[in-house]
Amino acid sequence: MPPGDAISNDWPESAKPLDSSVSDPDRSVDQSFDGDPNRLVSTELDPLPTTVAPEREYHPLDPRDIQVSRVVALIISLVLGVGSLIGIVIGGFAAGFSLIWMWTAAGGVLLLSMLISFLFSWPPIHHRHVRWRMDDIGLEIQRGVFWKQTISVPLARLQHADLTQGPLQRQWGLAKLTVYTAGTQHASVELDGLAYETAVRLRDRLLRQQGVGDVV
Amino acid sequence: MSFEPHDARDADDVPSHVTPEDKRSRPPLGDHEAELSEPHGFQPHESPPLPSPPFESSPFESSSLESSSLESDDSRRPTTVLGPDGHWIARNMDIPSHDAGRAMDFEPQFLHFSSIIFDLASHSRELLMPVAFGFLGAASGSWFWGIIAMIAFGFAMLRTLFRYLTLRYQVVNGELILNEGLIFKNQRTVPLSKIQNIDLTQNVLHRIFRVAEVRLETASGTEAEAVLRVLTERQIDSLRQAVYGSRNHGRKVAADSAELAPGDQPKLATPVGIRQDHDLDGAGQSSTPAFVEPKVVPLLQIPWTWLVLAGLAGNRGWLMVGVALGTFYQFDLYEKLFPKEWEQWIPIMRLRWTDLLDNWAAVLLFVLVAFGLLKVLGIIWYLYRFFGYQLGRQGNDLRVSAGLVSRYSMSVPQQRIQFISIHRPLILGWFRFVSIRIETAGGTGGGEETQENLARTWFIPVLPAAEVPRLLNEIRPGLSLSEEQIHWQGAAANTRQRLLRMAVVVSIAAIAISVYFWHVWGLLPGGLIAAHQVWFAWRKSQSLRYARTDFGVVFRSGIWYRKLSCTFFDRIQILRLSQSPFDRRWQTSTLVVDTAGAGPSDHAIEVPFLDAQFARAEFENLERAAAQHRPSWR
Repeated sequence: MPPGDAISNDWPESAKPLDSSVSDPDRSVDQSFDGDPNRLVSTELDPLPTTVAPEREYHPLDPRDIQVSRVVALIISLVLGVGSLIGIVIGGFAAGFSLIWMWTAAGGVLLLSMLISFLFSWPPIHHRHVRWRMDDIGLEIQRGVFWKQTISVPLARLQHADLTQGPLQRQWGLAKLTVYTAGTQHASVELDGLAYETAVRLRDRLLRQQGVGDVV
Repeated sequence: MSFEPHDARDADDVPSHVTPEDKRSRPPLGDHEAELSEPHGFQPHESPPLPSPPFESSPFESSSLESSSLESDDSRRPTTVLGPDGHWIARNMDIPSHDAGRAMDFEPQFLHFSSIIFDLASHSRELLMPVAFGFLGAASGSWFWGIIAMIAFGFAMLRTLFRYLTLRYQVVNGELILNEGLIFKNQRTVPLSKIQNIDLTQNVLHRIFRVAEVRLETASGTEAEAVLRVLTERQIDSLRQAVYGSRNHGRKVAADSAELAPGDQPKLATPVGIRQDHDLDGAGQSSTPAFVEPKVVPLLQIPWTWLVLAGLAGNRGWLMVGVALGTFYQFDLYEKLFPKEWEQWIPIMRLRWTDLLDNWAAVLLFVLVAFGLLKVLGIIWYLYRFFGYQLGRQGNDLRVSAGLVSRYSMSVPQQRIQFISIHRPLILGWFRFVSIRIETAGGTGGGEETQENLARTWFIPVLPAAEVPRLLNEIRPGLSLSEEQIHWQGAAANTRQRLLRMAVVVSIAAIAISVYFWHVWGLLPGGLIAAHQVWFAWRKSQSLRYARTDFGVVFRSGIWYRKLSCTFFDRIQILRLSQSPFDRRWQTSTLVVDTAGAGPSDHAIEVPFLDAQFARAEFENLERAAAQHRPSWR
C-alpha cells in the first residue's frame, strides 16, 4: 500500500484510537466501513468541528512492532545459535569430547536458550509498557518496564523531525519518529514502532501545530 | 489556543480535486526506491506516486499552512517586497499566490554532482592512511598495501556515490525535506521558519565549480541540522528564497536575492539572526537603517575586595594547581628548572617525599603552606578573570565586560535568557555573598564559544545577597526569587526515612571496611563517615525544594553548596517524569524540566523524591503551562 495515500486525509479521529483504525488496514476496513474498501475511515467520523475537544487518550504502539522485534530476535538467535554450535563442535574436536566439554556445552546451551527465550518474550512486555498521546498540549510518551518515564514535548517547541524506516520496518509498514527540540538533555525524543501512516500524520501535526516563528 | 487539524480543514474547505495533489506533494519515504531502481529495469510492486510539480499544489499548501497557524500569529500582514524587476510590489505571504508558491517550493533535487569530490575530500583524513600505505608499499615494491589502499578507496567511493545518489532535498509546504538512505531510510523535515542560520562555506575548489557547502541550523543541538555538501549557486539561491519567504514577519524578501559572487569571502556566515536582516537579503539590496546605539546604563561594578573574598571562599585554586601541574609535567619543568647536579649545593633538594612524611611538623607546615598557596591562586584567578567587572544595560541587552589582562565583553539579549541560577557556596554564604549564573540559548554563530561560556557561567561572579533582588529585576523585569515568598513544595514525607535507611547501609559498609583495615582504630573514620552520612541524609531531605510560581519553575537544592534555579514557562522544552523501581516502592517520582542550553549553570532542574501523585499533577500543569506560554520573541 503506498504510504500516506488513501488514509492521510482524515487525521483527527478523536472518536477512535489512532492505531486501531489505521495500523491494521484489513481490520479497519472490515469493522468500520462496509462499502468502498479504499476508504479506511470509520463512519463515525462526523464533518469536523472547528475546535476538536482535547483528546487525552493514550495509544499503544503498533502491534506489528512485536513481530518486527521477534524477527530481529530470530536473526540474533540464529546467529548466536549457529555461532555457539560451531564453537561447541570445534571445541569438542580441539579439546576432546570429555565430560568437561559436555558440561560446558550444556551450560552454554542453557544460557543461550534463556537468552533466546528472553528475546522472544520481551517484545510483548515492552509493547505493553509504551504508550503515547497527542493533543493540543503536546506529545506525551510513557515508556519503561522497570524504570518508567513519561516525556512530554509541548507544542511549538519542536524544531524538526526525522522519520526513519529500516528494511524490516518497511516490510511491516512501521516507522520510527524522532522529534527534536532545543532542549539540552533531551534534545531528541524517539518513538519507535509506530505505523508508518500514524508516524507521518503525527509528524505533520506536530510540525504544523506551531505558528511561524522560532522558539529560542 | 485552539487546536485545529489542518488536514481536516483541507478536506472541508478546499475543493475535493485538490486534496490528492496536496497529499502527493509530500514525498513518501519509500519514494527513492521506485526512482532509483528504475534504471535497473526493476519495477516495485507498488509504485508510490511521484511528487507532483510543486506549483500545482502549492497554493493549497499555503492555505493549509495558513489555516494551521492562523490564530497564533498576528504579525502576518501584507508586506511590501521588492519585485524581480526592481519594483515594489505588495504581497501577502499568507494568501496563496502562484508566484509566492512557485518561489518557495521546489522539486526534489540531487546535490550538485561535484558533491562526490567534496564528499570524498571531507573524508580525506580517513583515506590518508591507506593511501600513504599504498604509496609506501608501491615504493618498496610490494603490491599488498597498494591493493588494500585501492579497496579502502573503493569503499569510500562507493559510500560517497551511495550518499550522493540517495540524498535528495526539496521544499514543500514551507518545510525542507531531506530524504536519505536506501535500505535504512530517513526523512528529515525541517520547517523553514525554524531555520536560524544558513552557513555557506566556499573555498578555492568550491569556487572552481561555482558551488558551496551549505549548513542549515535550527535552535536544537549544536550540530547543523542539515549539511548539504555541495549545492550550486542557483540551488542555494532558491533555498535562501524559500527560507526568507517563510520568515514573513513583515520582513523584506528580496526576490532577486544575491548571487553568490565568486569573489566573495571564502567563508560566508549568514546568520538569519534577529538584527542582521540586511546580510541575508543580499548585499546591496536593502539599505541598512541608521543604527543609533543605545546608551549603556551601568547596573553593577564589582570592586576587587569582593573578588578577593570570592577567591578566599572558593576553591578555584585547585584549577590553577591542576593547570600548573599539567604544564609542569608536560614540559618536564622540574628537571629543567632544578637539574639533579644542584643537589650537592642545595641540601633541601636531597629531601624526598618519604623523608617529609616521617616528620609531622613538616607535613603540617606543608599542608598549611599549600592551603595558603591554593587560596592565593584562587584570588589570582578571580582577579585575572573579573577585575574591573562591569554589568550594564544597553537597550534590551545586558552587557558584561571584565578581565585584568585580556578583557572580554559580551552582550546577552535579555529575551534569550533561558535559565537563572543563584549559587551560594558555604563560605561565601557566611559573608552573605552569592553568584548568579544564566543560560542563554543558541550561539550567535561566533567562534568565541569558550569565552561566551565563561561569561554565561560566571554571569555575576560574586555579589552581596542583598543586591540580588535588584539585579534579578534587571535581568528579567518583575522577577522575584525571595525564598520566603515562594510557596515551596518539599520532598515527599517519607524521603527522610528513605535517605536515612540508605545512609545507614552506607555507614555500616564504611565502618566494616575501615575496621577491617585499621582494626579498632577504624571505628574513628568509619564513625565519622557514618555520622556525616546520617546528618547529610537528614539535611538533604529538608533542602530539596520545588515551586511553580506565576512565571515558571523554581528549584532549590544543596546543603554545602546551595543552588537556587528558575526557568520560565515559555522556556520549557521538554518535561520528563521518571520513576525507578525504588521510587515506585516509596511512591515518589523525579520531575525533570529541560531547557535550552542547560549546561553551564550546573544545576539542571531535576527534582527527585517528589510525591508521585503531586509530581504527576505538576507534570500535567507544567505541560499545559508550557503549551500556553508560547515563546514570543522578536
